[in-house]
Amino acid sequence: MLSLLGYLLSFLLVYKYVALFAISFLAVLILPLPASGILVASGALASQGYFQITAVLLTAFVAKVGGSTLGYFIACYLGENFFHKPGLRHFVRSRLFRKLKMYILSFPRTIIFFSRFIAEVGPVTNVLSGVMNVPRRVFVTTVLFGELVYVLMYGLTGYFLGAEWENNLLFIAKAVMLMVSLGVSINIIEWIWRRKHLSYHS
Amino acid sequence: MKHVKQNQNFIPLYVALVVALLWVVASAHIFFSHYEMLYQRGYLPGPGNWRPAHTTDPLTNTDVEQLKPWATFAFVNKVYALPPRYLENALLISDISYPDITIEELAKMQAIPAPVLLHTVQELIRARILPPGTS
Repeated sequence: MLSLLGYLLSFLLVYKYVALFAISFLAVLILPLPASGILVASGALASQGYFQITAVLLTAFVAKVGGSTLGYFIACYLGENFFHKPGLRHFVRSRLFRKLKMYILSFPRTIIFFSRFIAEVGPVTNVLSGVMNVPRRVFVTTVLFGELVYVLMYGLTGYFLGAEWENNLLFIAKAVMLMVSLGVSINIIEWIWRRKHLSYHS
Repeated sequence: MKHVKQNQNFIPLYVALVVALLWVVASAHIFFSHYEMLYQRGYLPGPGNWRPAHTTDPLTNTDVEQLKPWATFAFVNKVYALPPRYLENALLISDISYPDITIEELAKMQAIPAPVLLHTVQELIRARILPPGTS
């Protein structure tokens, strides 16, 4: 039986850029698909002449930005009702939700940027940003920058590794770990700075 | 007194920051060690070498081992520069979805284990393409 990644790789080989677009778009919108692995594989396939690297990077970038902004705008449109239908009404009224809202509205850029690199956290962040009314301009510019870095990082890693990409998936996991640790550190620095700023003014 | 209390409120954040920075240093060390290993093997770019080690030329005999069951015949034909009918004729493939069919799917259709078919495909590629450096 083919694994999910194997199945998606076959799908990618048959439908090429359409498959890359669909997988990247759906992964960032809602579905838990291994889009990072597919992007690395696409870069590797470009190194073997099966794809064009610029087309791979452009397709993935457009799909990721499109999926993220669609998720955000749907959540913006539905507001807190977004959580009512799936039975999460209590969550919206909870103290945790209020704390989460304050946290996201305090540090939207760091959270949105670094969430691009963590599977499943990205789509959730898009929805929460929409529900919590993160300003559109802040969301869109951060997503554009974040997805650009993400696509270049994964796509070019695959391109340079070539046929060796499958033997080096751990290298990509290490890159993700570094990005997450940087994100957490920057977030704590922001937190300290914000607290100091508030205590100074009060 | 108020100032001391305010500073005490920051202690958990400073501790968290130190832990997070140690995490960054450890992650960076692990990441760059792997990067250096790949750089030395010629896979990743670095000072004095900003071009990928590979080219987009067809793959050679030495790359055949890297073939996987998820590969389609269209992909195999393209990257090994095989004539489109070569594998179709050699494996007696009559399925209309050829060459957009994977090795694993064909193995299922022909009721043979995927590793066996993969090995056959690898042997057929080796028989068709010459090792690098030979003419």
